[in-house]
Amino acid sequence: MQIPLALLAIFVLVDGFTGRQLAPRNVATTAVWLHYRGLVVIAIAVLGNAFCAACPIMLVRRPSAWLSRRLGGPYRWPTWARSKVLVTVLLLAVFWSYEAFDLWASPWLTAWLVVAYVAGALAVDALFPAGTFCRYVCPLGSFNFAMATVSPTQIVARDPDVCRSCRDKPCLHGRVTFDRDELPRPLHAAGLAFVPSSNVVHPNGNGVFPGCESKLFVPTMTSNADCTACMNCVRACPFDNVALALRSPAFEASRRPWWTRFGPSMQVMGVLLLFWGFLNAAAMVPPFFAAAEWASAVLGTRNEGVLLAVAFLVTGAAGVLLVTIAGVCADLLGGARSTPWESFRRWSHPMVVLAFGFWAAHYLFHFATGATSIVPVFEHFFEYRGFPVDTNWAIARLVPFRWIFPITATVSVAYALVAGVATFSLARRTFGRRGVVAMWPVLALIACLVTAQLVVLGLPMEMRGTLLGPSF
Amino acid sequence: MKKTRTVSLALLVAVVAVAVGCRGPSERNGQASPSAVAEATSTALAVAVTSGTVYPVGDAALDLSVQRDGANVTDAAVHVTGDMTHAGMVPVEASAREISPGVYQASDFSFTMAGDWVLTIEVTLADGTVSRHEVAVRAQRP
Repeated sequence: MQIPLALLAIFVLVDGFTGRQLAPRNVATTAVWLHYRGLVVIAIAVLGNAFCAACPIMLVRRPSAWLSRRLGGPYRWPTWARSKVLVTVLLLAVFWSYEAFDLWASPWLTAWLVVAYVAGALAVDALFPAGTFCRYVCPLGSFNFAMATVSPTQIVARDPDVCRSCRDKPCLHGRVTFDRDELPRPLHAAGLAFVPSSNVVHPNGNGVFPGCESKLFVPTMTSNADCTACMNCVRACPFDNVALALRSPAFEASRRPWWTRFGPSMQVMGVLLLFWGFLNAAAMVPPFFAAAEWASAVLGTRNEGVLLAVAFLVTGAAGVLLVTIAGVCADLLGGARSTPWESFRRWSHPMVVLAFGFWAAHYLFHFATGATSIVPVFEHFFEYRGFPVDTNWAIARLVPFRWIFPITATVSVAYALVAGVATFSLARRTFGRRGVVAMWPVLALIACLVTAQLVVLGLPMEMRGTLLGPSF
Repeated sequence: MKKTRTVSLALLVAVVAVAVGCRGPSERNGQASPSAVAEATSTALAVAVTSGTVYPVGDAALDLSVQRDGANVTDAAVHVTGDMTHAGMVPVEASAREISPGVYQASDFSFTMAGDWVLTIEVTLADGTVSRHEVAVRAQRP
């Protein structure tokens, strides 16, 4: 899948830089802002983090390794940058830039974004160990990691006893299986585990199989976070003991899996994604524009970048506060004497399920309006360059407008229900029978938020590039 | 595996070469930033939307003036295509008829959604010369 997506990226760059600068007719804006986002949420909902697995940036691994050797790397990634704080800031920068610079309307800027992404991945992975960019820097990857915690699949060990008796942990470190005499010398230094052919009971058999670049050890995995679904572990396991298993979308949110592994930054990021997701959709409806005018008058500025920054920061802070208040109330009802911070951390998990519903509804809104437009957009790509192609825009719309609200509302409500199930399960696990009482403040917050989302989805949407009214 | 990657790389390079090399130079005038364009002109032809820049969502009449060196252009075929500024939106097309010398009207242009639109006005003169112009407008709910 990486090769086709790399090919698509080439089309994105070519059309973005040299094509007609009209978003609905350009491969860059259509593929990136319509299809990538729509297919990401569909893949996460039905399969898992498929787009990280197919990410063409993985193809720069060899150049970055070559560069790394010449730059004296790999260097150690700083400890302070290992939490989700850095990627949360980068995510905010992407969301802000998207609105402030109207990235969705500019093929040229979209192409530059792709260039910056590839250059960033090459630079980070050239200086630091492979996979550093994916795990600690990539905003899109972190978005996918957080949202994939709602996926119905997860990498698991089929038989934990096999893992207990496994000495080399090839799923983590990688595996080399050759006859010992033929083992290439550089592989000795690569840190890969050597597993003799006689010990391998995997259909893949001999070869070189890299391990997990995110340093996830399969039998201890409790979350999809940081898993790029690359299936390296599946191929590396000499005992064919790693599988992609089905699970409930509420599974992770009801078990607080991030508590120990990722620290609080993952939970804060998840809650911020919920409220920024709401803001992202709300930024298309008239009440938001009225609020922007009000904020402009209060703050005394017409600078849209400043107003957007204020909107993101205020919304994020309000979100953290709301979840904390609901969590404190829930803990009090459950009989726990928790600090507000502990309450926030306990009850933030179901919010990520709700966040996925919000982002999925928004992205599907755009995807459903014109998913099939990729066909005429590619026709236009060639027509624009003088090929004898007659672009047929009649096939661009996937579903009629009147279907959009039922689709997006169904998605929002479905994941609100999953969030409710996760809340119930979390409350019962934490407080036992008192959990039936404790869950209600959080359920009330979920109900309020999904209602607000439905109101936003039900309002007439505007696709405009200015916050404060016509600029012409 | 190595051979496959080499072939793939060669394929990518070929696509880039074809895509960049075959671009028609006559289309370069289509690259103006939509948001920055209020009225598009060329050295020979001036085209303007005289009915305003803000329209209600739904059917609207677009009045266009077409002039060359200050003189009204008559007997031109004028076609208007409207694109929203977000990907995935289906373009709207309409033909304009001449209602007075140099003034053309697309009477049944349908703004299907509120937001920013880019109107591409294609003028075909009587001598067969084709000229394209972009004008940014906005559709909003009443």
